[in-house]
Amino acid sequence: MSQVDVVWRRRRRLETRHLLVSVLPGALWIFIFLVLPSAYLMSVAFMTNGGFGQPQLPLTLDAFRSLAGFGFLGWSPGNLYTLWRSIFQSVISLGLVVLVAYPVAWYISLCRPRLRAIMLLAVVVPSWTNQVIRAFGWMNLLSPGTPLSTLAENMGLIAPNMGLFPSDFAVTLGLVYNFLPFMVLPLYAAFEKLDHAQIEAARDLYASPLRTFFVAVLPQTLPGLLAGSVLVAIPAFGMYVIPELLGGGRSQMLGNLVASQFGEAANWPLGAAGALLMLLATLLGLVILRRMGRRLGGGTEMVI
Amino acid sequence: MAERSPTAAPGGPFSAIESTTGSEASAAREASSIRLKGIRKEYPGGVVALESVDLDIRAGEFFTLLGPSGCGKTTLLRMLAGLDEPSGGTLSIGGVDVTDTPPHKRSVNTVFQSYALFPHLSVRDNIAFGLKMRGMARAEREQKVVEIAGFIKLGSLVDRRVDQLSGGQRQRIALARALICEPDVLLLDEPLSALDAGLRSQLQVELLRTQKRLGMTFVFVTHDQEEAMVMSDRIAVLSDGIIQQIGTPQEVYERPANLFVARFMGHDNLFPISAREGATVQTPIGALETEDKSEGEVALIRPETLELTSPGAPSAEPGKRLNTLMCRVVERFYRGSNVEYRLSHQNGEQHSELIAEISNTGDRLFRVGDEVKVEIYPEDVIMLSDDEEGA
Repeated sequence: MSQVDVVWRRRRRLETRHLLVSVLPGALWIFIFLVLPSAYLMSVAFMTNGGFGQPQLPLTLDAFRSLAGFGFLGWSPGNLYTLWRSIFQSVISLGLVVLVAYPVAWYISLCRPRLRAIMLLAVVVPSWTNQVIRAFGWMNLLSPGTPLSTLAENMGLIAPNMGLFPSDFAVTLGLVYNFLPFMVLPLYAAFEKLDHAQIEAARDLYASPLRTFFVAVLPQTLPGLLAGSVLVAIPAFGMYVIPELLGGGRSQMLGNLVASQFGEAANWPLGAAGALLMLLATLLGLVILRRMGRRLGGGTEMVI
Repeated sequence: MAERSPTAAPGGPFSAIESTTGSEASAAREASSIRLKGIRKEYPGGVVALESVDLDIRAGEFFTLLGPSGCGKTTLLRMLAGLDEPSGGTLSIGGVDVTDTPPHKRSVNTVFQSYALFPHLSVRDNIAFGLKMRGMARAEREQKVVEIAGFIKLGSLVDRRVDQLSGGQRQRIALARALICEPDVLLLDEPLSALDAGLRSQLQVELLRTQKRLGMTFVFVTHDQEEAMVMSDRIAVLSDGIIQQIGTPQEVYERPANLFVARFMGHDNLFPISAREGATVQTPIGALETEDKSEGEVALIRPETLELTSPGAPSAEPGKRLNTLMCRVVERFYRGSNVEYRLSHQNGEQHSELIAEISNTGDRLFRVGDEVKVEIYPEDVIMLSDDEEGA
């Protein structure tokens, strides 16, 4: 073995040790505070609910059965409604967020640089306030007797004295309001890099303004759009605070179901099963978005 | 170019089958002349990009807009494409006023400086894009792509992805994408400026041949005067939003309209005239005889018109009165086909520099420090006005 080989070997061993030392704390942290609790949570989902609300053996699928709606009194669709509401609310609010954020981000990107910074700040600053406080703000704006509710009443949109809050509508509004910055920022980043020559090329090659949008603008902003969709749809799906406060208990989402099972309903296996369902649904959503990104992006990775 | 290219065929100008469609071609050429009248462009804030430009571009012509950056040449091209709106004046293509026609309704296509290919589309779909927007059926589009790929020799490039292409390849795809639409006029915005020198001259030749074969009107923008001269039938030299001169490359190079054009075309032997008496002008290099009767404040002597001989040698053309100067060689640049000498001339207190370009005929070269006799024909002393248009 040559001298050089020996040096190289020693060096590689040293590098391996350095790598281990630098990675170990983080790896341990993730293992102790993420992997272990998740594994515990998953195992709880397969346990039985004890008389005092404690998870205990034997391992069964009871929790999943009751999650699907089978209880003492036969089948009820309540939990399925909650799942459906979660999906519905996150998809609808995602759609609305895109509708609002897309033109806003585009407009900001066209402003003078100084104005851009101010407008971006205006988008972001409200989200520095606590979510709960902002939800209370919406309560004040939407409860019965407020100008907005009266207006809606007079237009015949809601029953008299009902108010816009609490309702599904208030939850959607709260979600859209809450997640808007998470869509505006990635979209703005995409618009800032927009190659205007592509737009002009499309116009030059006989594309009408509308077709130009679909061929030259949308594909270029797609990475931002998809990144924003992940940032909006996934937290919205598991949202707890907004449906709790603005839904008034009538617009439960999956997050509220899980929370109540770990809290007042004292059925940890059911709560864990709900959490597992949430995790799986989120992963499924991510896979779909990823597929979409790859298909629309011509084979290049766009999401995650 | 009385006839259309012999490769034209009923299927289109790019297919390889021979046919003669002369009448159709001349009709097409009628449709592709351009007339600009009093075209102005003023940006908000009072910046004037173009000041009342009048320009006639003939059908089937390779016309170049030449000028330094910021002279308004790209703005002019964008107006032809419809991507910029003139603040005043009218623009007609083939006798039809298109001043207010949006870009997607003009039979004009552009090769952009950055090429502006669509990265999410395949090369094939990029090329066929214009046809698709015009509503051509898929099968017919594919056929056209095959034709144009043969015409521009794209080979297997059409099966690649855009991000797998080099700069030169992108340029050709951009050209194919524009040409396939068979526009009345093709606009080219410095399409070669991003390429290295070798590829550039190769593509210059390709582009020129393509234009001649199609007989299509090309409007070309460049800041490179050599490129402009090589390619163009006619050149318009612009500065500060004003056309300084329109002419063939030979006219613009040999008879620049003013000092700006002369400098921009790369002329260095420019000498201010202090006095004139008949055919004799007083310059820093002494009194020069000229045959140019026009008024002017600057004398231009093109470097390739200078005759260099040894001090004792007989005149280049005995019996003719030539301007004769004694100079010293300061620097020599050997370029193979020609040799450039930088000469210094002392006229009393006045020190001047001259540049001579002598074609390399295999004669003995002068060395740095040699004394040489410079002879200048009176017809090669050209009068220039030193104020440019509009300045």
